[in-house]
Amino acid sequence: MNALWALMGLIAAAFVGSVLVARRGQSRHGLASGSGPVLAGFLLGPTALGLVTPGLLEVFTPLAQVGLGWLALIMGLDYGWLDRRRIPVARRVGGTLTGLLTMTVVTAATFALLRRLQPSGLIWWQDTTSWILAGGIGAACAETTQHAVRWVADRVKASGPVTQLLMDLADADDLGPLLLCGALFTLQPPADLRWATHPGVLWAGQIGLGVTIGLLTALLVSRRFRSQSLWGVLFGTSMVAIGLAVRADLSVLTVSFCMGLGLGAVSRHREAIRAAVLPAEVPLRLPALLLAGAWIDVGRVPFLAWVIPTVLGARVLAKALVAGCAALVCPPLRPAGAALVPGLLACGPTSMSIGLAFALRFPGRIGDTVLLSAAAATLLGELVAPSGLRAALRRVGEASGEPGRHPVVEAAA
Amino acid sequence: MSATGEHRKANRGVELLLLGVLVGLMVLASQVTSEGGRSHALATLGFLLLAGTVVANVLERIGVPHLTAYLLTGMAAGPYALHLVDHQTVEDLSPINALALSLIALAGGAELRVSMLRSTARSLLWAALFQNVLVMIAMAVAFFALRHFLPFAAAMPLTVVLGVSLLWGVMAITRSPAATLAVLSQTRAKGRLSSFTLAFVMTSDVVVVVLLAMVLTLARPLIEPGTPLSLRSFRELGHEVLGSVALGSTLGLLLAAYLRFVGRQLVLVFVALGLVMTQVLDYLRFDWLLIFITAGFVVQNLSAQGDKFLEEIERLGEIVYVIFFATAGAHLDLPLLGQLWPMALALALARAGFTWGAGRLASRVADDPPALRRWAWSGLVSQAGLALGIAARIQNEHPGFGAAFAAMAVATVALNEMIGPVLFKLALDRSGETASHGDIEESAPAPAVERAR
Repeated sequence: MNALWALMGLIAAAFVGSVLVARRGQSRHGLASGSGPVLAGFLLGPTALGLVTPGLLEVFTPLAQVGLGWLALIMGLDYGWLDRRRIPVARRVGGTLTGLLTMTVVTAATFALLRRLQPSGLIWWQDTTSWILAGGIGAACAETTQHAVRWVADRVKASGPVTQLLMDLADADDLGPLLLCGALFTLQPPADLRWATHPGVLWAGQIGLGVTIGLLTALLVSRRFRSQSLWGVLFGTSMVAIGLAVRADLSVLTVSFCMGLGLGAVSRHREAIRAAVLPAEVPLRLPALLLAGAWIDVGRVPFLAWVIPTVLGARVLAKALVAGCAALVCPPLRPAGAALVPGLLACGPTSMSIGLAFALRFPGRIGDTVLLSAAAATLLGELVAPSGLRAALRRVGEASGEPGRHPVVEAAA
Repeated sequence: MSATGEHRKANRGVELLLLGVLVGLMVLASQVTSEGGRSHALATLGFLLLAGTVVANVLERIGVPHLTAYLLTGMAAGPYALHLVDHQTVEDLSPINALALSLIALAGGAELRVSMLRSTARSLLWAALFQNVLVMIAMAVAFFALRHFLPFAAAMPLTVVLGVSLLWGVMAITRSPAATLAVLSQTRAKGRLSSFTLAFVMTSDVVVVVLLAMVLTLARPLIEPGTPLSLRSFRELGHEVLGSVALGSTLGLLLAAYLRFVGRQLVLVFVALGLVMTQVLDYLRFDWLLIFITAGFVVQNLSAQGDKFLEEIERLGEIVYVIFFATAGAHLDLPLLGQLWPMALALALARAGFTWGAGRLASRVADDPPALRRWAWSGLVSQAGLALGIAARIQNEHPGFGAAFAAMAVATVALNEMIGPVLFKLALDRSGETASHGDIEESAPAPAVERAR
């Protein structure tokens, strides 16, 4: 397959995505976590059919970076909001803590395994490579995607406080992993960095860079709002953010996410900006997931038989802890019982984006392992999460069991 | 000063401050790492877009057309001035340029309405004759007369200079559809002058392609004595022009059907056309500019989808023009211009003079209204990509003098690219065809605002 055909394929994927988003009840299409494009990409990639070669993927690196950057920008802009409703602070904090807890458990388990499989001789806190790998896997396996929650709620016609709570927590749990990605990227500074800088400073620098560009965008947008320049300003500032992040080997996801946070926090035109950029999410997500799937090369992942079961086991354990803690804090969740654990295992776009970001930044063992782990977690979630969520929502009495449209989805459509 | 004036002044101040922050970020990035390449191209793309927009906004106050501001931004940021953009990055942005140019060509074709062509037919025909044939001959004569001052032509035998002069003549009659559309897009001008200029510049592309084939055929035996007169160029021309028109018509009908039955996500269709189809058509040796102009024309005149089509393209207009012209500015070889400017200026002035003379003559014969008589020439001074494309082709076909010829062409085109838009905007302002500032703001609400409402 040559680059032109591959580009056409990506444009076609974006087109299909845009057609889906334009239809009402979009969440009823495809798989719960939206992982269909990952599987399609995997089939086209080097492990299966081999139609997409690593050389060809190299050509699309800038496109992949732009796609990741825009997705993160949209996530940042939309962070803390569900449709037009502001998510309460307590739930935002709770969601962030659940994400961080899952990331910590998965990172710790993977780190311990890596230290056992490949003793480096270094003191544990100095084993940077293992930290990047384990942390990357932890970040990629931290989320519970709100797409799956919406998908299930839509199918079983669920509505009520628990459904709302699950959506809120799923929306808010991206903050920690996306910010910590930036920290992990700084553990291995680029070879051509001219100034020796402490990783902490670099991490703060990329958060600062994102927020600064977000504020700058807000200022420009407020001044040029009544002209055709809105898209120009958004496109221009996001390209600057993505380009600077890539150039300095910083995390595109962190910088763009922070840009979205900054812009969303201060701009009085947030609603209009959201209205402008949100329709771009699905057309961007599909090609990005397709590329992520095509990037997976199972043959290049060492200790596959050990790493993947450990990662998945740790993720299940972490989500069990999250479910337990949530049930303790929130009594209406208790009737859901153990069914909530598989329900929380749904992951997809954020996980695969983090996986792809690591594959682009750390090509080779680290990148391949993080990406494959993200794909494995997505696949597991796809298999068990819909039935788990369905059972949980029925047990709490919020699902009628009849197929239909969920009011939140209706509102979004 | 009124409150609005104060407000605008404050806005410009803030925008300049933001521009300073952006420049600072770009400089910081180049200091922190030594890496360039594609990652740099992304940041550069965003920087040129933002900086071009801000600079255009600031310079608008003194009457500088936006596109001149974009060019100046590119030149300032480019490899010969601030070095925020390097040569490699400019090359990396070439696919974006192809995308921009394809949109410009589609918009150009779609702006041409049969009614407009009918109403200006008489003026167009006479202008086509005088502006193309007469200016080509006059410029060939001027080049011939100035040959002693041109280092690469001074020592050439007379017949060779004659051939090279003809080549210069045909290169001199190219115009810039992109510059014309960019100025019209900014000013939202409506009237006889804008209609005439648009129609002339868009249709002259075909005339120039035909004249180029003729001149290349005639000039070859003069430049390379002993070479027989070959009509091969005409066969290639037939394939290129007729094939391109046929393909363009088909594409236009397909686009019209898409607009009628699907009508969504035209941006993705434009991206597919600009990034993929241009490559395929280049490979097949078709003139994709002509294809897209024809396609736009077909959508506008053979379907009811013209306005919707134009509206979609115009939504991307600002981004497209900024990137295209700012990149062109960064591409300008300033040291070369510094070296060749006296002769480049002489040739550019001669061209502007002949264009003015031919315009007056054509208008008199066609009995044009006064505004057209006075200003019809002003929109025909700008030159850009087509001239450089012809120069590159001549460089390939005549390696002996081609490089020096192309360098002189680049220097002359650079001057015309800078002077032309200023002249055209001035003419539109003076002839009263420019829309007022309020009209421009009224007619262009941000799409997001529309949706939010």
